[in-house]
Amino acid sequence: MIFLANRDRYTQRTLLRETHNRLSKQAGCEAIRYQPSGRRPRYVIADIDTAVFLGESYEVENARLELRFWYPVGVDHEYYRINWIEPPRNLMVGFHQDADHPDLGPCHIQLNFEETAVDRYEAAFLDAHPLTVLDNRLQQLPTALESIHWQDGQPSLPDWPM
Amino acid sequence: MATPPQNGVTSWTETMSARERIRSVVETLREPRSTNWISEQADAAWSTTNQELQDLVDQDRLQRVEVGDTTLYQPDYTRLLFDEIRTLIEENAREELRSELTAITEEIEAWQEAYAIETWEELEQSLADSDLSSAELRERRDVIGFWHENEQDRQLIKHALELYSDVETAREQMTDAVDRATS
Repeated sequence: MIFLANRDRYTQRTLLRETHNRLSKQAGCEAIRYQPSGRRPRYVIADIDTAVFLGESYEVENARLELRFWYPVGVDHEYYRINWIEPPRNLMVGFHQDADHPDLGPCHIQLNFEETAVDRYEAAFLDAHPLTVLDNRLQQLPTALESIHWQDGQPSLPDWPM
Repeated sequence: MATPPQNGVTSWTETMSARERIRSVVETLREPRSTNWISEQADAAWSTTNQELQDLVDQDRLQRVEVGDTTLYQPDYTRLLFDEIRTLIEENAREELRSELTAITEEIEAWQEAYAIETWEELEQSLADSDLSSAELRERRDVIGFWHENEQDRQLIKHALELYSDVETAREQMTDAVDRATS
């Protein structure tokens, strides 16, 4: 029997396909794929040629983008994680709109180093369609990466919030 | 919002036409929205948005909703559901769909064992446990979301498998008809 309960999941699936489509048109995004599979998409992942993606040379040659959008039950806006991951430096910077840090409001930016969150700040809640949000956050990523400050081998985001 | 420095990240206004952006926005709406709102989100002219919305309504991809004096639009969710099923059938062999069902079952069984529970609702109840660290809470919230999605995907994939033979037969009949017409 076909029924229309839980329509958020196929709205989410459509959104993840649009996200895949968006990354496929972005220079520097390679091997764009779904995790765990296209039949059951949760994340859209892309390997990043950083120099092409950022339009200038960068400290590490390759990074990874991991994007997830979802609609938790009982919440009237989407949740998302838009993560830039650098395996060579064991570093992650991401915009997270979820239930993890309500003290920072609905959305925050987080910097992880060696599996530990080293900095976390409130980020503006964008009351907008998820695809508009995605465009805004991707535009902000280079600024976020530029604002990472290294001292004695430890990264931080001293200039945030911007 | 601060303007980012010159970089290689392109905006979707550079890589997609206004009509493509409007269609992307409107087909992923969770609630009815106005022409103004949609045009603003898609960064498209109001007149282009209005025309594209009318075209999508004419194609039965979009529903018009009258709320008082305001006209709102929402996707035809029935159509979206059948599009999902069609995509699953067209892009996957039957065996791949069956394997995905197995993967879903195995993943859920692993969570049941790891948390000693039967349903995601029980895991949700455990979030009130004050002994959980923030990392554990985050992990459990993620699992609840994944579990929920798995259950819905399982239903969708089952629908696709149920309709698989009928869709294949319809496709073969279409091919036969084209062959007859062109021979």
